[in-house]
Amino acid sequence: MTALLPEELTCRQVVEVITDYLERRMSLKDRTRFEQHVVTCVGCTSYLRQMKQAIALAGAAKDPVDAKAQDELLRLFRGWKEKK
Amino acid sequence: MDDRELVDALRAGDESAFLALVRAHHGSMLRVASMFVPSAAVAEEVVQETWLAVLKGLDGFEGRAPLKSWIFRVLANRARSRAQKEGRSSPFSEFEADDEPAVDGARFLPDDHDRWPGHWSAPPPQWAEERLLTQEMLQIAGVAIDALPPQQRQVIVLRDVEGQSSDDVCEALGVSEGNQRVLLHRARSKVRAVLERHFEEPRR
Amino acid sequence: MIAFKWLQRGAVGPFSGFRWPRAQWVTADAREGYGIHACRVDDLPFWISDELWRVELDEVVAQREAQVEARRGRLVEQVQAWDAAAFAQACAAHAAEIAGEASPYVADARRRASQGFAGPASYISAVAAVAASGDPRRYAEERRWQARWLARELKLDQAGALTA
Repeated sequence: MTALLPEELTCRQVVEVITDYLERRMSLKDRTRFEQHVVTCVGCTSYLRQMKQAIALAGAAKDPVDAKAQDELLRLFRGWKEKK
Repeated sequence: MDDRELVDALRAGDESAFLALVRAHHGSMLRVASMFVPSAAVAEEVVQETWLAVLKGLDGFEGRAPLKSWIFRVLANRARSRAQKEGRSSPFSEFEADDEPAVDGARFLPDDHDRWPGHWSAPPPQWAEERLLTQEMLQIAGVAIDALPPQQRQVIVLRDVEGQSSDDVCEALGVSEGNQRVLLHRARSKVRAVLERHFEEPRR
Repeated sequence: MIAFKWLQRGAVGPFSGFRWPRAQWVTADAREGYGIHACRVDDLPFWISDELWRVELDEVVAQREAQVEARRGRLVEQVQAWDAAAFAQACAAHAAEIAGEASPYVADARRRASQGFAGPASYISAVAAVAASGDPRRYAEERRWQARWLARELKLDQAGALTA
């Protein structure tokens, strides 16, 4: 909160509830309060963007499925097809 | 392809449809299985058995739940019963303790600041998009994830790396949504902090 | 219903990341709170972003304290006259009139205005008014002043005058 408007979130609070926000587990009231803070705060605008970028980077790190595993599973699939 | 079309394609023996499904989920399934059973070899067995069970169960699949949720449920049940046979407890039976704040408290103004208590003392900088999606940063993110405590690592890999839904991950790991969210929060906060430290290093 | 929407550069939703198409109806998520959000004139100062658009809404489901929500909406035209720097400076100048140039809040607001952060600058300006008076109600009053400034400077009640 600013010293004068106690209803508002501080940045310290924002960084702790940000996952609740991104997971859509906030009440509408809390979500509006969160977004209002972000619009008015340079630091939290940046932090929210960083957090989304970190998540996107993690998503780009998915390993492809091992070729050997794909072959084995294809064999399994063909075996199942035959027995149907 | 929606679930209806996918199930029809699989029943018709469409190999590319099956491979697409494998590529989407096999990695996550190995991860989940590995958490319950003692070895990589046993985990692979459990996952293979699951794929076979899924194929055999296709005729009875009514589409009331999403296909992938059903696949995960079959997997989780198999992994758990295998774990029970081997006398192992669930890796999520006890919640990992971790009291570290998402961001070091020193980054914020103190509670007695006259104008902005609890606000950033300096705003975090913007990360240049072109420096972000590089091999180097991918590696750093990967290393950061690998360094996480086990429960946090499992959750962030399943949710953010593998892209599985919250419901499916909670079901597979046998954890509540709230606990899963706390683990995800801690994991993401740590990964972000590692990336930030790297961005702040002068480029060589 | 005609309303206004703040978007990031390239007509992108600031929180959703959704890329708005031009002149095409968009239907939103049915989940409560996740429809299309838009501003009435009084809501404008609270949601400042890069671009201001006039929008048409259909199936309005809620009129809330700081925004309206609808199931369907489409972008009608961009308010080209929107000038973030001018707005930010006007807010800081008005805060200076109320709180005095010596107010540290005014200094904060001017700094954010000069850095190009209109949302933070206008917010701090409103807080400056509270600090000067010791009355929390001055916050809403200052925001209303800011909304009237926008309505007047951007000629928001005149459809078609926006692209002049």
